[in-house]
Amino acid sequence: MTETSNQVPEDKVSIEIDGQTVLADKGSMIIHATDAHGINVPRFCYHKKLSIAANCRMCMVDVEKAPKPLPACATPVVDGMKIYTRSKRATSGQKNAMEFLLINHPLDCPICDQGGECELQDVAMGYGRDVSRFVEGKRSVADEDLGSLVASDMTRCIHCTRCVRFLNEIAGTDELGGIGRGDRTYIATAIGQGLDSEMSGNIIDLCPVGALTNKPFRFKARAWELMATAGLSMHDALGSNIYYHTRHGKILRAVPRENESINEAWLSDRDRYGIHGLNNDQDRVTQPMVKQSGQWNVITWEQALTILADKLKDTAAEEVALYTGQHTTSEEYFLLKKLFDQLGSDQHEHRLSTVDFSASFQAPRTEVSLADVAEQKQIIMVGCYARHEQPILNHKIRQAWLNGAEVNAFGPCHFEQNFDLKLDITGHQMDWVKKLGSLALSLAEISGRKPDGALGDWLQQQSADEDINSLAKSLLKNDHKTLFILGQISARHPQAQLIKALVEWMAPLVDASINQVLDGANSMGAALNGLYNDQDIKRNDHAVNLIYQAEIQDFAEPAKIKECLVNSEMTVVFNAFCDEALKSRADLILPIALLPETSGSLINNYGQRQDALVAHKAPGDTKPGWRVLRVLGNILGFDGFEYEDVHEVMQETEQLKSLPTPVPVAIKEIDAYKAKGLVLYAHHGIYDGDALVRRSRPLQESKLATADTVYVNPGDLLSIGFEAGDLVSVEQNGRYAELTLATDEAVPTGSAVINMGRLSTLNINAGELSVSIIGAQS
Amino acid sequence: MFQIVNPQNTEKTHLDLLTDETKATIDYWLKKYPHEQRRSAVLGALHAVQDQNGGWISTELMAAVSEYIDIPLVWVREAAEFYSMFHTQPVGRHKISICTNISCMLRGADKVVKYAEDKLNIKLGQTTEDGRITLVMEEECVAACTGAPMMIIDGHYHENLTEETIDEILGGLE
Ligand code: SF4
Ligand code: FES
Ligand code: FES
Repeated sequence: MTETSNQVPEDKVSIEIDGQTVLADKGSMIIHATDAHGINVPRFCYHKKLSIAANCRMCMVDVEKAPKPLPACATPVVDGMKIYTRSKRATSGQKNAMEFLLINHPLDCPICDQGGECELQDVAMGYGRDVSRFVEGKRSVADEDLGSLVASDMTRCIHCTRCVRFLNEIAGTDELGGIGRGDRTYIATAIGQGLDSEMSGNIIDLCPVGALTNKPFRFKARAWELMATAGLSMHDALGSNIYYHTRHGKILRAVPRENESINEAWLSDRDRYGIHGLNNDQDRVTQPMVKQSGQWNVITWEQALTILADKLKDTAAEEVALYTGQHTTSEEYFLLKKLFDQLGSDQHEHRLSTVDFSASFQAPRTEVSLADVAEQKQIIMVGCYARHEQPILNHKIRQAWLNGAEVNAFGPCHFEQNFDLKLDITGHQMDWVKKLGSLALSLAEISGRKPDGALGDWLQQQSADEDINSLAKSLLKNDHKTLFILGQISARHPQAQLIKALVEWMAPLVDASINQVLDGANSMGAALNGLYNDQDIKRNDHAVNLIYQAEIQDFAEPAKIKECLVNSEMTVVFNAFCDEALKSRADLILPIALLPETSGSLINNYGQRQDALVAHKAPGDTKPGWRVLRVLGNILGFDGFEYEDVHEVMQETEQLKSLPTPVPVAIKEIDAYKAKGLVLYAHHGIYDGDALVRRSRPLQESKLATADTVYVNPGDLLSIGFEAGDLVSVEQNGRYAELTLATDEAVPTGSAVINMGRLSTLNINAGELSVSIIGAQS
Repeated sequence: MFQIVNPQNTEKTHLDLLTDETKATIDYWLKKYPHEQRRSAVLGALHAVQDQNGGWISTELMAAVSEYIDIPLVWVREAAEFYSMFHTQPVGRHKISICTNISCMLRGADKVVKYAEDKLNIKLGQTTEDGRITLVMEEECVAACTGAPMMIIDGHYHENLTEETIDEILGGLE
């Protein structure tokens, strides 16, 4: 494309690259223009998402009238500039930089894990000499242990500082730095403490050489043996885009697939290393099984589905209940709904992590797109630890903060953040909601408006707070929009509807939008298919319970669901994994494939529908869920189950109508919650959220993994009567969880924090707030 | 590890290591820069802690500086390990830095190094057993090329070195 300079817009300049005239943004660098026009300039330190360091000197280009070659990444374009990227002067500059970079770089590519996908190797092929002129000894650098996710070989480092800049600019954790000077510089942590960013794996992709590599993938395969399959992450509701790298039908690693509207060029560690759960065969189920007189017997699919169909035919429709996980494909949800409609049962629910069912189902609110979160000026996080709920969302919040946004938070703990909070309002699970109430109260008093009904009465009983009052004032005064982010802590709260009602009442007063952080990769798809019930179906005793892609750990009320399963006549598990907790309560197990082993679509938190393809071969007799449901529909003689191919089901799910626009929840009455003893906060650790991450060894061995611990404020130790480190029992309504007691200043007084999603806390219901700590029972 | 810990609330456990005088010096430097660029105060701060600590900076003191200025610890370590005037290992009472950059090298810096090493019976980077003298690992050009070869002892320049002057100067150190 050639443009003439007489039509150059205001914000552009006209330059010439290798004889081709192009327009470039004023103030941009030469490399931006060459990249935009597909002209290759070699580089190591430059990365489009990071600040410019210009320290590798590889990107030398020849600029007319300049006395020497200039770095393309750090030279701004000027109108009329003539740039040559392939001239003798340019290439000799590049060759010389290459020779310098190779001085201390080991030439042992055959034993380097990066071999075959190494930027240095590639560029050296193009620009390097065949034989090294450097005969002196090369330096070597000692490695430190960076943890279970990232392996280091610091002798290979070329000091481009991409990793340092990523951890500073994007992750915000500043864990790595360039230590020393000159040829003795090396990259290290401050005191050998390892990495604990939830996004640490990205430095592997950024590192242009083999200095930082993927630890669990280390020495597993060569780049040229791998096939890339486009997939989607299933660990949060963003559906981050992934390439699964597979060999012989097995996923060996996950790398980001760029999508500017979602994960940009990044992946959270959970999305990168979650797949290692797939290869954990400890409790993987591979064949249909039935429990007959206390014995598990392997049966054929035909037998299994016949047993199930017969039981369904013999049972009154409303006696059949379905609990589905939140990361299943829309196609499976669609077929499940169709099945239940024809059965005549509305006892189906996907909101396993919800405990407050006091209002009828509402479509989730997401009023600001993910990308636009980074443009916000005022963000209020309500019961939200975005960093662990949706790491990429947290990245956007951090970007907003870096651009000057003010961030405030209400919640049950002082969470570790990678940005500053103006106010971090905390209290135990009941208290922080009251503090949110004081914000509403202040807004009511200043604006002279008051919510009607029960909410208004409740507000009257709240008390004002000075800090919160000044926040209220500034919200009313400022002229930009505010964004309330209702996090998963709010969604799982026993007063979820009250919290939501408060925010919904405040939002129009202060010209705010509301985004809800959804659980699971496809709760939007489940909702769209209608797999919910206006009541808590766990209240009813059903004769047949179907558990579809879920574990007991996925329930916010594991103790309650265990009871339901025990009381039923038959529990049928459609899962890839089945641990003892579930197996001991099951009667029929049907092995179905997990997302990377099956094709289908997901709808993310922001309403984007995306498709995923099979990337991993499911083991044994495992079948994709849609196929199993299709056959079951046929055996039951139901209409419309004649699909030949998953794409036919996908065509159907594409037609699904979007959910009605949500209306504010109407609160009928507000339970006067009273807790005696300590107030429970049922915390969800970043790696306790689904079957795969729970089984991913690299994640479970990383620093962010949780433990079987109950945390209290150090000030409460005396009244509890135990020491930190003691094995104790947490008692909740006559049930016990054996945990180790620990203290943390971040926990508010009177609060007990427990890690849910783990085997150790299956006796705890998130909805029952009174707990006490007593001596160990065993 | 339990990750619901707020770094803003983490106790600043190393602050007690700073003397009042050091704190005052750091405050003096902090005032010179806007808050967002407080990182710049790290050099002044490192000098202050090095002075209070007999000439070297321990990891704990780096932590104290990072807590006091409120910047990541790795930034403090980067600065401390970059500049040759900061020492991150214990040093002797006197620090001798022999310039080995180009002008001094052409004028015999290598011989000066060898002579001093033999005389003190230590290598560059080491400290004499009596804790009297440290030979600093390396020193870059300090703009005294006209007097090459040269060395710096406790901040003072000694130029046009010969074996005799070295004997004399080293002999005069307590
Ligand atoms: S470790 Fe890799 S990314 Fe980090 S500075 Fe070295 S070469 Fe660059
Ligand atoms: S890419 Fe330009 S100097 Fe490194
Ligand atoms: S080279 Fe030694 S002072 Fe300049």
